[in-house]
Amino acid sequence: MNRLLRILAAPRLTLWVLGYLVAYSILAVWAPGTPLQQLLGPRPFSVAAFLAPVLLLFLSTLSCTWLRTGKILSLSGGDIPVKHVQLRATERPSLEDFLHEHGFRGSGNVRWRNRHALWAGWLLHLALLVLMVGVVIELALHDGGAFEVAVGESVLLSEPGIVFDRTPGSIAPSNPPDLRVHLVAFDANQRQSGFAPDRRSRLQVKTRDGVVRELVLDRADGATIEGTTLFQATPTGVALVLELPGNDLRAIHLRSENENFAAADLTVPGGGQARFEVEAERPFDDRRGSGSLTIRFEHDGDESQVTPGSSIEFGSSRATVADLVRWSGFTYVRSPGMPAVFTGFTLVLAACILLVIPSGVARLDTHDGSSIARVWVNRGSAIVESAWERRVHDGAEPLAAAEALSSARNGEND
Amino acid sequence: MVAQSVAFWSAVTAYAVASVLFFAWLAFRREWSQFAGLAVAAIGLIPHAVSLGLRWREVGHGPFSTRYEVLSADSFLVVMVFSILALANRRLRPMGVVVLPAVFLLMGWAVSSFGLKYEVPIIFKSYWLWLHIGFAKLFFVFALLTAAAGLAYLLGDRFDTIRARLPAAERLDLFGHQFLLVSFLCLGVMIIAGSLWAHQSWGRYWGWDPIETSSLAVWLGYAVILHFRVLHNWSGRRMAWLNLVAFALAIFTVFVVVMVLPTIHNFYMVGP
Repeated sequence: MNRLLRILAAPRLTLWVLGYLVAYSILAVWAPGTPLQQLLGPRPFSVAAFLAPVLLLFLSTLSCTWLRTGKILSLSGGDIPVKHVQLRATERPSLEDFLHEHGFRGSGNVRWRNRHALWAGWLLHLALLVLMVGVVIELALHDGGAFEVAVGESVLLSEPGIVFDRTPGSIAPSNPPDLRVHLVAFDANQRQSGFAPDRRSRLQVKTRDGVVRELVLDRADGATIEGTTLFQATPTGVALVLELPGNDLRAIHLRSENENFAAADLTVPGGGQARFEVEAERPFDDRRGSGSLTIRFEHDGDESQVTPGSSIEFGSSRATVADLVRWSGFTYVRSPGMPAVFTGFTLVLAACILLVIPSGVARLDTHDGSSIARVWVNRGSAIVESAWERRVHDGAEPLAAAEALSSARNGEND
Repeated sequence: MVAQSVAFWSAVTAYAVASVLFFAWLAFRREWSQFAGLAVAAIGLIPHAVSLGLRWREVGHGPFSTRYEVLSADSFLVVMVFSILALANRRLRPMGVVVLPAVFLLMGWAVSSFGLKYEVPIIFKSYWLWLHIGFAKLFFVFALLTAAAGLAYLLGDRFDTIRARLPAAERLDLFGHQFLLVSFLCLGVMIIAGSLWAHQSWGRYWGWDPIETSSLAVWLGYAVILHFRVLHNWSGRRMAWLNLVAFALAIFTVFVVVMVLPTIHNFYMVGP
């Protein structure tokens, strides 16, 4: 087991895996539109060539963290690594004072420089493990999908056919959320002060328990109701509202075929195909408005021009063209796993901040009858050593200067 | 517009003069020239701040959109951070030889899109904007300082005359490492803030957008470089070269990817 851990934590393996992931990610970014795309596939970050090294990185990080725990504990407890510098004491200046000036604190034989920062590297490894686990949890629990609603229309998200492009995780709820969404108002190009015109909607959302909430959405922020967050999406178009017998309203969402022409093909009640077309004088999104609109209805080879209020034969029944309105796209997301990802993010940030803080440990000792300090700094040991040498040179004891040059340093880092 | 232009060109002139003074210090060994270079650069921040402020007032948003706004603000931050650090630690001042000419070039590039003005999209209505973009800018600043430390080390290593003018090699090596760590932190904050912002606006925290992916790749690339120091005890010349590699990776993500590939981040380098 220990041997396996050491193999996984080998520096060379870590560097190769990290290097591979860097190279793969950069290639995947540049792949679209090149022959490389065929090799990597349409979703290059969901294939084994990417996921397997990520798993290897996880195992390598886990092994490294495990093996380093004892080492950091002993460092934090005051043990000095083999690779340290040795400062020989003189009467003036005092080693204790010198260490204090360089940020080492403590009163006994062991002095620490930012003791908590000794854990920076270890914490970063732990943070990456937590983040990777968090991402997996979030992927498993995540549920999201898209839906469209026309102004005045109500849809129940859990009804079949309402939500599309759904991406549920492996243990996400089997059905979309039980929310009834009613679009009260929608502006495709509303200007909010200081920003370019964009979508904005007013929704009424009713939960299964009958709670009704009114939400205002734009593309800057979503709104959460009972664990489901609704977001304004970009797609929009025109919709024909038909009044069917029994005051039943049905919105037909038309797809834009060009900037001032939209159409929808559908199956009418009782069978048979029909087509609605709407042609605008100017583009639908024209800031001045779309101008006059022409609505055509085609059924069983008969084409007729209709206006709001017209009655048409709609399959086996008659319908009245009630209105022409906008439909808007929305998305919903349920992400109960996000706290796990947030935890990973927080730990990564904490570790990165600690990394910037220089840390070290010093032990006051005796060697051949002389007082010495063994000093280890996680970076810049040589600078501490040369600062001591300069201090001794500048002091009153020239002879001590030569002695102070003794060093057991083999390298700066352990 | 005229006042904005005058303020901008005053700043450019100050940075050009500061560059010349730093070169004069290096070439003619005039100590006063180094301090004068730093002082002129710091004074240049005043008209620079005025030009940024006037543009902010004119377009109604911070320097987030178009190549001019972004590069001008980046340059401002580079000079400001460098001036503060160099005043606090005089050993950093020689790096002005690299930093100020780089700023001068950035300002030259920025002016190519001086006349472009855009409204920002509604998605900018978020507090995450400040963290995400602020740390993106700081990342660039510290990546440039890392490269400056690396370049100074390599020049000192190659030319004896220059070495005599620079701080001790081990000190430059340490500066490079410290700047690399700070840029690693800034890049991490930028990625995380962007991720949280995307989660707030779209309900997804990661979308494999080219800039997102490149930033992650660069962060991992920085991790590789840090591993070389920590696990393989690399320092000195090899680390100086790696510091330049880190800067190249930063430039690649911040400027190249966004200008060549379609991404949701294209707005920030819009220009002719």
